[in-house]
Amino acid sequence: MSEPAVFVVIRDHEKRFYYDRWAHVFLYRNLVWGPDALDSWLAGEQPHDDDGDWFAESCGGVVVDHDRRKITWDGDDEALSVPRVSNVLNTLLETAWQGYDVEYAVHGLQSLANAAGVELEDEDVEDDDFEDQDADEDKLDEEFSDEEFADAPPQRSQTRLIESKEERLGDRPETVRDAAGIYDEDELDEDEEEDEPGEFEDDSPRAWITLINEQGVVRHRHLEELSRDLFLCDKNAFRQLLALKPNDVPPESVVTEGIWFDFKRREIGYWGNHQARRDLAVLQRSWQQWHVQWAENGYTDHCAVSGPIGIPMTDEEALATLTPRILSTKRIDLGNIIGALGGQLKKTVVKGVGCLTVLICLPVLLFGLIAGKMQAALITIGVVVVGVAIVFKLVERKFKRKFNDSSIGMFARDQDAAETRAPVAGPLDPAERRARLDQLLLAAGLPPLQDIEKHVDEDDELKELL
Amino acid sequence: MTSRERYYGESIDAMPFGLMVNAIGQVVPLPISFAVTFWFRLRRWLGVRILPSHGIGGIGSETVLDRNLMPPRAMSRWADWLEQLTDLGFTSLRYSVENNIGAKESASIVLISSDSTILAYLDWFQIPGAGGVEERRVAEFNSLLESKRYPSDSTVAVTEVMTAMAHKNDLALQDAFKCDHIDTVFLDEKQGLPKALQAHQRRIQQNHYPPRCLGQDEALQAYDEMNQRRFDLMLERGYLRELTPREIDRISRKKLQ
Repeated sequence: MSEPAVFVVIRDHEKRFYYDRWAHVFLYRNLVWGPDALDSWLAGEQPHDDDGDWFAESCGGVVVDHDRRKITWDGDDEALSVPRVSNVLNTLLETAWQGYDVEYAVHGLQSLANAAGVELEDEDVEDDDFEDQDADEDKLDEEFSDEEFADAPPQRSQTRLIESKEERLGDRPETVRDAAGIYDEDELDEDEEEDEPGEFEDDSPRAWITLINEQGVVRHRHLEELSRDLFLCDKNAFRQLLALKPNDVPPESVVTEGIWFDFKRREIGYWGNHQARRDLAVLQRSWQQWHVQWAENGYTDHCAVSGPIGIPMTDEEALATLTPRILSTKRIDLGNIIGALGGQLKKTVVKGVGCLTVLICLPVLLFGLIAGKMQAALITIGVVVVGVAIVFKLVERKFKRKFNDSSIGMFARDQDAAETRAPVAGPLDPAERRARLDQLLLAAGLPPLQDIEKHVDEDDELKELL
Repeated sequence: MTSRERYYGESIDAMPFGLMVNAIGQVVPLPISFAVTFWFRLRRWLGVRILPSHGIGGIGSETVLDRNLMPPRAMSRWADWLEQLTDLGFTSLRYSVENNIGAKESASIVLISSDSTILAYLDWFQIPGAGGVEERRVAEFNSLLESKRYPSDSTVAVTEVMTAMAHKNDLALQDAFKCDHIDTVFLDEKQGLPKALQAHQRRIQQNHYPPRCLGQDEALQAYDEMNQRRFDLMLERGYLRELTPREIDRISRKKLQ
């Protein structure tokens, strides 16, 4: 179990490969401090002169090409699926890497390998099939004239996708029904109210679809993500969409990609995260009779065509999901993850024990009130609370010791001991790290940490990990 | 805000004990809910009333707005309901924001059905909750009756029929707001508006209620009168109380954060 990342540093046409077993988690926290900080962090371990099997073993990574002044990176964080969040991160990275092109690896390892000039074995790429790369590239050049590429977003034209039309859609669900979580084997039960398709928890990420019919009637639907049939101009997709439960205008903070179909104007607006940028070309090709545009202002444009102003996400809110991770200097490894899980378990147990203690103490308190013996009641309650706390601590200590002596505990400790590189790039002193981040935010024209921290989610599931 | 303006605050310590325990128990463990309710009641007995987080103006104090000027958050949250109501033949009569002080933001829409017998009311508000700001939306279908009717299972005359949808956590408290003259049903908002409307129409049909047909002009006046009656009942029961000028001053300083 690990989240490995490969780091390729190209300087004076010489490539150096570094590897980190856990750096793929919140990878950007090592990048926002700029090239020098990354270099000195990587220097904590010896580089390798060849790519070895690093690409095969990694989940993602970074290619820093000092010769071409370009950085290509791919990190795993669900928060980045929200375009607003990845946009502010991009602004931060561009500020930290002044003079460099910052590019997200839209095809993951394949993009990284391309940037590093490394050939990948087929099995190294999990999601996409990149066979016959050269032939497909030629075919693509024939299919897309330069003019057609002109309207596409910059990243799209730079990357020059190499899949066939369907393949380019990655692992998107086949149909709207699939994307709404309706599967043929689970026919909808009229009486079943739970887990209704198209219904999301308030903070669940989703794709937002808006249909504007010939009469101008606006309908909103939510899907887990846009399905292939919508991209490929399948009329049945719209029947399925209309059959779904209507939805509200979602807050920007939960939208990963948005699309509107204006049937009167024969116009499609599309915006979203890195994956959406990658798939725009497929949409443009499939809907040739329509005007398909990339909505540069994303959520704002989508709201403007569909009526309400919506619930936009501020810079502070967007950064609030990132700054706790950036400021964290904890090494993310197996030991830390197990510790975080243990912390969550402990919280639940503390709540349970707390409730139990209240239950025990309440009758005592009532007795004290009714019998007029409050002093005795309060002393009893105090004794109970102290007793429960002591027993709890003893049990916790015994549990921890037993776990540390187990094979998983020892494995986690060994892994931790094997790391020689600093846990993260950038300053390790918390105060200095904060100050540096504040400077960076200021330079990027973004709000200061003081304002951002008001929006940090106290119930963040990953809080224990940081 | 002028000095003559009246504001009213919720008195949660006046709610029936069992209902309150149940309602708070939706978000915290039951023993804690019991203890909190007991604390509220104790304070009431001791004469140390809880200062509400917000105050509301009376009926008619709201500000009527153009649709485009309505709070974007409310309009976004209502988007699906407005879509469904439009499909069901409803047209909007009034968009408004409520006159609140303190930590509350709210807005509402009144709509009327195509046969003019059902008034739909959409409410949206944000108030402080256990886990920060809580946002809620409520939908009601109301029908006024031409004449009093006695449903088969009751001896009390009914003059209004209401079907409301609320968040499941709030349903536990809704029994406190039931009035004898209103045939009321509360549904979980997850049931969806079309089902709630069907339930409303079915009850009208099954109980042979004669719904009053309201002209566009009189609909809003009838709606405000109906609302005033309900508001007065809540004051009478003590669930709402008029705030003192000092309380108004203190509550006005509270902010929704």
